[in-house]
Amino acid sequence: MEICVTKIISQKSFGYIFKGQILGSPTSASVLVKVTSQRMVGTPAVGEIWDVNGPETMTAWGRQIDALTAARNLPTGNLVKKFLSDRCPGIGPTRSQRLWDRYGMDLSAVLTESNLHELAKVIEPDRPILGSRLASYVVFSWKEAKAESDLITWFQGFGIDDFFLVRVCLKLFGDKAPQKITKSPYIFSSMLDWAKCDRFGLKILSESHQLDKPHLAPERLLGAIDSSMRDVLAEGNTCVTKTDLQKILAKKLIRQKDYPSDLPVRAIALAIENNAIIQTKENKFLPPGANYLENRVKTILLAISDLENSNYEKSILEKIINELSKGYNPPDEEQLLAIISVIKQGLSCLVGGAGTGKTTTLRYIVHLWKRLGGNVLLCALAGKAALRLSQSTGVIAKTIAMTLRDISDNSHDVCIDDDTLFIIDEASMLDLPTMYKILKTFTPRTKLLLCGDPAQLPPIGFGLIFHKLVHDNSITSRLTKVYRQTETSGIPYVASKIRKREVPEFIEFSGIGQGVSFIDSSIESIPNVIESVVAELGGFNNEELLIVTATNGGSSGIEDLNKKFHDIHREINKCAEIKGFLGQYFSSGEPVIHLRNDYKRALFNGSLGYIAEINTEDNSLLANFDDEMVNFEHEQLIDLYLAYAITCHKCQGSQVKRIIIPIYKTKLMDPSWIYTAITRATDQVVMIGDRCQLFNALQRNFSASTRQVGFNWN
Amino acid sequence: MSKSILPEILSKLEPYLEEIDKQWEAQPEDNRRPTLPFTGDGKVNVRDITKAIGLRQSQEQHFFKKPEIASLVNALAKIQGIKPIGSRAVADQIDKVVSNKLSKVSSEKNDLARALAEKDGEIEALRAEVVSLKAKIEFIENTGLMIRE
Repeated sequence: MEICVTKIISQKSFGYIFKGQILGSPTSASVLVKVTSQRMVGTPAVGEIWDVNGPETMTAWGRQIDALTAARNLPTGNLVKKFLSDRCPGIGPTRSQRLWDRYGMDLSAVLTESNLHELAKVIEPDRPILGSRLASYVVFSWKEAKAESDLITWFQGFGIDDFFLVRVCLKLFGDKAPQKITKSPYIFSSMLDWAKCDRFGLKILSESHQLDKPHLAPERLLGAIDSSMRDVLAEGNTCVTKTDLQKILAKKLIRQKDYPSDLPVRAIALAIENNAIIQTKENKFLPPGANYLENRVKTILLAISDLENSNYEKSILEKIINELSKGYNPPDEEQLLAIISVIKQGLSCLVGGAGTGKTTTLRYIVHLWKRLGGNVLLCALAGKAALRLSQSTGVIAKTIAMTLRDISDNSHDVCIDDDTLFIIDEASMLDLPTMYKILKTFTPRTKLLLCGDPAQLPPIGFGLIFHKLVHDNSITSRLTKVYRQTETSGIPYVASKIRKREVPEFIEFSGIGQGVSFIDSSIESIPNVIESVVAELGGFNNEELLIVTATNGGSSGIEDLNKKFHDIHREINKCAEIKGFLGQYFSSGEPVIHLRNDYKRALFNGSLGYIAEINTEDNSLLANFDDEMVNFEHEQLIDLYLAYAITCHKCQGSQVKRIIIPIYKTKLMDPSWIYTAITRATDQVVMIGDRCQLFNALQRNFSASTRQVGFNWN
Repeated sequence: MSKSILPEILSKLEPYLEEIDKQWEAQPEDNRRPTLPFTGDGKVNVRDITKAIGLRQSQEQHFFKKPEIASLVNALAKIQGIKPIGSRAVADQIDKVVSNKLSKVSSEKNDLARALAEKDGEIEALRAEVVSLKAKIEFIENTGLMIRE
């Protein structure tokens, strides 16, 4: 549907609402269009013609389209003048009128020809320097809009309506996108789903390249390699064995019975020849990009580990530590050794399980380094973890995302220099790209301390750094003495048993209390047992209770549990609900989780909060995140999910008083999963399900140890 | 004017002006009257000078067109408080020179403007390429994968 934009109602970073007239409508009918940024190409302005597709509804404000796709049509005729006036910096109505007066209906063709000198003379006849500059802006803006329009049309010709892809292509290839893509039709293999990519690629190869057997084309084989590497990285690995790679390739390349069975072998040989993959001595294969990142990270870490601060006498350090311990528990021998070791080294790891005093040790390290004249940057991946770090050390800690943003903005709040000690907590969650981004900011003598627990889940992203580094005893200090809850069946005790892959003893569940319990239940009954336990624990009030489950689907998975408790909540409280996205409904008082990083609003992927109030008129809500009220308009609800139940990965870095863990058959549960889930609770854990499955889960390897990476630290 | 005329005129003019200068100097310092011929409006009388040194009237023009001749006479005119030889012709000459130069500058400016426009276009193209390269590097750093072109 073509719509002429008449008014911009709302303009936000996540999307737009605009009003427009439907072109071709006999009554010049008006319609409201709501579209998210991901579903549009370009930004709307009054007077432009937009091509909008999506379901139409009748609302209190009239006809409304929730656009599935929206793209600007290239302006023609008189609209070109308006486009230049609105879009090109420094042009405005007067100069655009000059261009229109000079070229009239030929203006769009003249702009496409890009004769800058002639355009400059028309735009600003008396000021050649200014005219020249403005002419280049005009041509650039026009070319950009034309490239956008041309690319959308071109893609639609191949049945591709993916606007994310359009935006990426425009950024990467500019106005040459169609030519580049035609030349290399598998150029998207590392970005797009293989089936889509292969359909597109085969079509181009047979039509534009006129190949009889496009399925054998080297472009396709290399594209399959890129796509396979994408799959490898999606699993968290950075390398793959030859056998596994051949299996992945076979699924991609041999789509029909008459295709040669040796295509995977051919693809690997071609990839090695073209440096599309890196082959190791152990006959494994790495994507070149990930290989580059791992090599750079290793180089920088080696340089940091060579730094030494042997100027600091042990006796002086101990004296300062003694002063710092006034009013606090002094560090024990293990902690003291750790503190001194970190101060004296360039690269350190601090490892300790729940209740071993890791936070206490960090506090000493931070204040000792500051006392010695250094400065400290404290980070954690999750917002909650950063908050806890700030509270325990007395020094402001931020998330890594925020810290990196502040560094790139040259913010005064952040100083990273030769006297900086960069401390990262929950370092087990650090993936390769994030580690690389952090290390890129370092000066030659910046020090690094990674704190964490390698028994926890590996990063969601690809790569494994911390888990590899901690094997090096020369840089790793371990805290083994457990202080918190020393009695059996306390969380630290149970956690330490899980680390050893042993089934611990449990206490009997009897309502609100301390320690870890196990309630036996059949898989079908788990949801009902969870419901009873939730009631006995006082419900989900005040964010003190969380269900950590392994799967999205299934009766004990996230979707069903969230729906169950949403219905119970509404039943008990007789409250209204609003509809979000992805089948989510929200009511006042419910726990929610934010699904992405939003630095401006200090919300992060995994931020937990609760809904303070909903607005049924405009489907918006107000949520409380760490005592900050945050407004969510309807389009922003896509970033929220109910959080009665969440996955273990999402709760990494968070802590609540009580956790409920359904235990059932799933490959996702391994010792690190269970360990991470248990250690999210400060007071109480209730496991519900099949003890045999718990035993089976503990027989599996820690998931970090199954991850295949090229990074090694010998 | 051919080269041969200038020396001939100068050979006659210089002694004449020397004599004029001597006559000037011979007068009491505080009561001197111009010895160089001048018109009613106080300008140098070129006609009288031409006659005095035996040149034809048609050769008067050289006094206006040639700075080598005019400057000799004007040096004395300045001392004696007389307005210099008719600047219009000289000015016209100067104007012509300036006008030629402006023409040349304008043409050069046009060339420069064209070159500038081309350079601006190149800059924009380079900017677009930088954006593209940055996007490719960002893709590698975020995904560990490369884009095969």
